[in-house]
Amino acid sequence: MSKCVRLCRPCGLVALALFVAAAARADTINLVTSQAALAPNDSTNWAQLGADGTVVSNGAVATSAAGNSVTVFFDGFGGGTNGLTSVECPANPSCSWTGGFNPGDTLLWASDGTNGSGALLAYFGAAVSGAGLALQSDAPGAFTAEVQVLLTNGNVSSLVTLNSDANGDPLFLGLVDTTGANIAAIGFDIVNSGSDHDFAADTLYSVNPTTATPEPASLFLFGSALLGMGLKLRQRLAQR
Amino acid sequence: MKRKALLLLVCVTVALGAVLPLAFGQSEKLRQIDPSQLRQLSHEPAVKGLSKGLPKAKIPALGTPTLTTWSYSIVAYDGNTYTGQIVGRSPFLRGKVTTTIPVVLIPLKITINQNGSPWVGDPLGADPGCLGAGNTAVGLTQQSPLFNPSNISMGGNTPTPTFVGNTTYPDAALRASFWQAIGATASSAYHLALSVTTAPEQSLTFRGPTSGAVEYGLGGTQCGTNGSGSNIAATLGVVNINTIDPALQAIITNLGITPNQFPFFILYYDVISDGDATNLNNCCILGYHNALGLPGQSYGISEYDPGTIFVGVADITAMSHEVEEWIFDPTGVNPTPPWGNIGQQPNCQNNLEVGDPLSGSEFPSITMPNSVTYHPQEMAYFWWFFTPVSGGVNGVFSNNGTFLGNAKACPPGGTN
Repeated sequence: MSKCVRLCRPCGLVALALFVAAAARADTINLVTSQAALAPNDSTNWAQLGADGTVVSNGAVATSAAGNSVTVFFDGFGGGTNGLTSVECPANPSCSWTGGFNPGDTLLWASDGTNGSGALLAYFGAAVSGAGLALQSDAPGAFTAEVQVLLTNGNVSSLVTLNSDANGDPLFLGLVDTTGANIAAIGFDIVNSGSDHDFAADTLYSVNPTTATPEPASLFLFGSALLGMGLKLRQRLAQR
Repeated sequence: MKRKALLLLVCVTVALGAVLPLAFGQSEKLRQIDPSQLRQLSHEPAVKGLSKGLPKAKIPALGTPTLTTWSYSIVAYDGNTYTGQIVGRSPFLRGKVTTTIPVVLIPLKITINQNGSPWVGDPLGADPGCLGAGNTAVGLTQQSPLFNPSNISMGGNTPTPTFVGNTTYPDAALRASFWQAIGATASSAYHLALSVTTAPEQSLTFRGPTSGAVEYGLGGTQCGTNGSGSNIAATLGVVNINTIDPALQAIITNLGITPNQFPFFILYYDVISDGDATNLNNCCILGYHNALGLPGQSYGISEYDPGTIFVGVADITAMSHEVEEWIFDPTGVNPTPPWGNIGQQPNCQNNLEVGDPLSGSEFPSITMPNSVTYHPQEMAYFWWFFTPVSGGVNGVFSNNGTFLGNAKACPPGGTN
């Protein structure tokens, strides 16, 4: 949990800036604001954590469609100590969110039912190269969201904020590490005044390392191999 | 055998002859009134009068749990902004959960010593003629749709009632009022649950006839059959609100009830007057709710109605009125544009009392698993007081569709 706190505690931003310099040394982290831009090949559906209204404790583990484990934590900046599953209305037999996600979607609600419990942190069993989800504030109206990733080398990315539209419709945000599958965890929060760190997050999408876009270094090796194979083929053809 | 049977019959007849005059004769010791002389009064002026006598604010001790409420703010048809507090969690938050409020039912036995006899209205006493054998007013309240779920549809025939959930009547009325906000579906997880406990019976004794209390005998056809003891047939006690209210406050304190709880007193065979109890013009307030301080301790009181005294009132009619009003206006001072000349309000009123505009209008009866059919009152939606557009179920302005438009400013009042 020390990593969770370090990852998202707003007062630690100065300290984070120092990490960012280190992170920037090796990794390039880009914000994506749509599922299409993320181009995910994996997803984690929160419905597996229980029916609408199920209490989700710190450390609950979900499994992505491709088999990657995702461990969730709630930092409790709003005072809440755990989360809840929440289903977008209308849906049967029960639904507890009315915000414009797809009806029937199961959300992860950073609230214990009384107090907000964000930030929401998701730790991947196997590091990924990108992750993102759509989220929305519990309070009506516009909101400001933020996202940050923890890298496998222990560094954290700079904090990226994004404003919703005036209606406060669900907002997709995610981060991509263009240098490789180095994202160990991703954190989300709602930070505008009065939000109480209380929000819901839809399905978590990620870019699985096994099929992730190869890093430039990998591409070089792969290209070299191809070149070598081509040269050998040319030699064989010349010998004939 | 025939002779024995005949003898038994004679004995029974003699016995009945001895008892029946007693049963129907007790109330004759009292001033007789016809139930048609009784009218339901708004508790509004009386409760306002009470508030004047209270300290400006009873500030709860640090750490005292408070009633769970949310704040609304709405621009009304008159262009003014109105803000207030409603019990529970805001239905306008995107996440919906159940908020549970502890309710303490307090059976209140009233004894009025008058004409040399004690006249006892006892909500824990038997009254088989009105309540059925083995039942009490408190028991039937506990089993009622006020505190137990049933399948409830609301919105009236506009065109048909909409199923709002398997829930209690107060919760159903709240959900119906904020139907769009809760997701416009019966599967919405938004609920206000009332967790009920029952306190030991409390007793108050008054001398009558005085300005504080009086016992009347009732004409007409009454359901009661008790000839002695408590809940004597064809009687009705009236207690001055200024006499009973300090006693209620003392009981709340003595029972150690805290502001996060809603103490609700149950009367039987007794009602309340707005001032001198012996003046029939001051009768009858069937229940009221009030709060001490802002924020502070809210409380309510209501009669369980035998069913044959007041027109359009039976069993939980008055109780449903008070409980729902407490939900929408726990402090009694949630402001609205002036409305009136409707329901039990012949004048103008400017607070969010969702029962008052529809006193006398019953919601369709609800039969519970105890086979008793209950008669809650229809309630106005939140929107009726403020806006020409309703966010309630079926787009109407009351939960049985009596109001198809919002309130008209008072004077002259009425409804669109």
